[in-house]
Amino acid sequence: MQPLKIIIPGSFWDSYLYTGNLYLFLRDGSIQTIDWQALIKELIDDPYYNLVMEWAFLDSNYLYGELLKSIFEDNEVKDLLIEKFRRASTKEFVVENGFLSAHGNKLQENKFPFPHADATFHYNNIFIGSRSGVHYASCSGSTKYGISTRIHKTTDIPTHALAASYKNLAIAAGEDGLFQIPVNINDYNRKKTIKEFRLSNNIIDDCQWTFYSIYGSSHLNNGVMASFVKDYDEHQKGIYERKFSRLIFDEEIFEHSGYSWGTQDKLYQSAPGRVRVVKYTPWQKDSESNFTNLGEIELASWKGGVISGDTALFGTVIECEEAIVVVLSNDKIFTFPGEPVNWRVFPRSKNYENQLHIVYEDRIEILSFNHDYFVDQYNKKAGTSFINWRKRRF
Amino acid sequence: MVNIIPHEIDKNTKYIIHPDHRNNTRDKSQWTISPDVEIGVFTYSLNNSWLIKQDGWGLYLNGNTVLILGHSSDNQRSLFIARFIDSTNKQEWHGYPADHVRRNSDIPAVELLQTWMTNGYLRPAKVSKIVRGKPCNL
Repeated sequence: MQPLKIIIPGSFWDSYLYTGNLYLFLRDGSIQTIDWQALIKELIDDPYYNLVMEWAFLDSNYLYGELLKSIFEDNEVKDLLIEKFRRASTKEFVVENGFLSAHGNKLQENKFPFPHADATFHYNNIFIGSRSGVHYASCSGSTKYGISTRIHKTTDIPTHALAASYKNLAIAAGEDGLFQIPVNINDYNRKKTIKEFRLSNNIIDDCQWTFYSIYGSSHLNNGVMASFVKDYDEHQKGIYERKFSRLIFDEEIFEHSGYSWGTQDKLYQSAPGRVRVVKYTPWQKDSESNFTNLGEIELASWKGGVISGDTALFGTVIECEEAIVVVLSNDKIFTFPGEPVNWRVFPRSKNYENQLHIVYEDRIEILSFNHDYFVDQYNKKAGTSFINWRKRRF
Repeated sequence: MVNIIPHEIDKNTKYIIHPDHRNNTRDKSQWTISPDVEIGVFTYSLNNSWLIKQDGWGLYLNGNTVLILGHSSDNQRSLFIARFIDSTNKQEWHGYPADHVRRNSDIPAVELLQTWMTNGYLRPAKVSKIVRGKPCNL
């Protein structure tokens, strides 16, 4: 099944989908906030595509629901749905210039350091990382523009990459290492000292969350997992505190060194012509069985060395020198040739977890992958697992 | 003791060819361009206001095409941005090939990166890798 594709022509730097808004960072130094639902509705020119466009771009989590799982066991229904996705994937949904200008009331000057290294959203705030540190602003929707024009700085830590979860920001700070800082806007506003926790001194150029732990990637040193445990309160059910446990280096996880990355239950490490895969299950009491070798994925050499990687439910995305490679959870591989300006997936999102945004020099391609609903979540090699502990809609 | 002779660029500005970046000194990135070209790269930066206070940046240009000017200390990465420093604050500069993967301070100021991107010296995809501290080939 091919991915569905929306193309937005233009000169962009980055894009991010968060709570119904598409934030576009333009290379002219502006930010445009687009009503994502309105954009999708505008693109549908035939009612035949209503359902698949909604599931593909607005509410991807819907198809993981228990109710639909039983419906999918009916092959006739399943085939009908797959055919709808297949037909939609043969169309290219191109956003006309007129749409963006008609919805340009939320076009604003980008007051963050630009060009930034990374962006993330957490608790209705946007965080922008750059060499000069991390800046943030509210995007709660209560301001005139998509993002409040009141920009604040949380930390001077030079930032190569950001990832937010558990009310904390993980920061890949290059030669300064891997950090965790709390996301507590009230403390920032009161100018309280922010407790910066340096997790590793290695040169770290990327970071992601692996459940309640943080994985730091490095092109020059060992990749490292800053392993945390959940310390439960004996007296209050469900109340816990994340506590740092230890550093686990890539050689311990993969038995080799090499550029590595990890999101939730999947850890990957690049090797010449292939990628090693390890499944991470932190809830196993025996720490040695936290890591299970799942084998390797072949990678054609023409795509060049690995620059970065990230993982979503639909598969793992590998940025190579000459292409973006998507290894799908059904073991198929898609290659998007060319060097992107930026790209991102949304592994912690509830509605956009099946999307890959690739920014090229003259456009953004927003891709929606819709095969994972039919894949065995426990045994898949590429892509994080949709497992029962996740909060479901049904 | 190596005798380092400053080159006079103009009446206010001097430039030193630092031997550490030409003699394979440990942990020092190395120029692959000649000393004369190094001075030329610095002069171009001076003339284009790419020197900001005590921090300066440069590119080895052939027209609008950026060329390699050095390699990393471990010889694993080709480098194409020059970093210039006026450490004494007396307009006496020296420089070396910037290694943005190894050192945060070797990532140029965002304002300058935007200028280079707008002028077409560096494509946006290259600038993105530089600000993210990722390996980047020309």
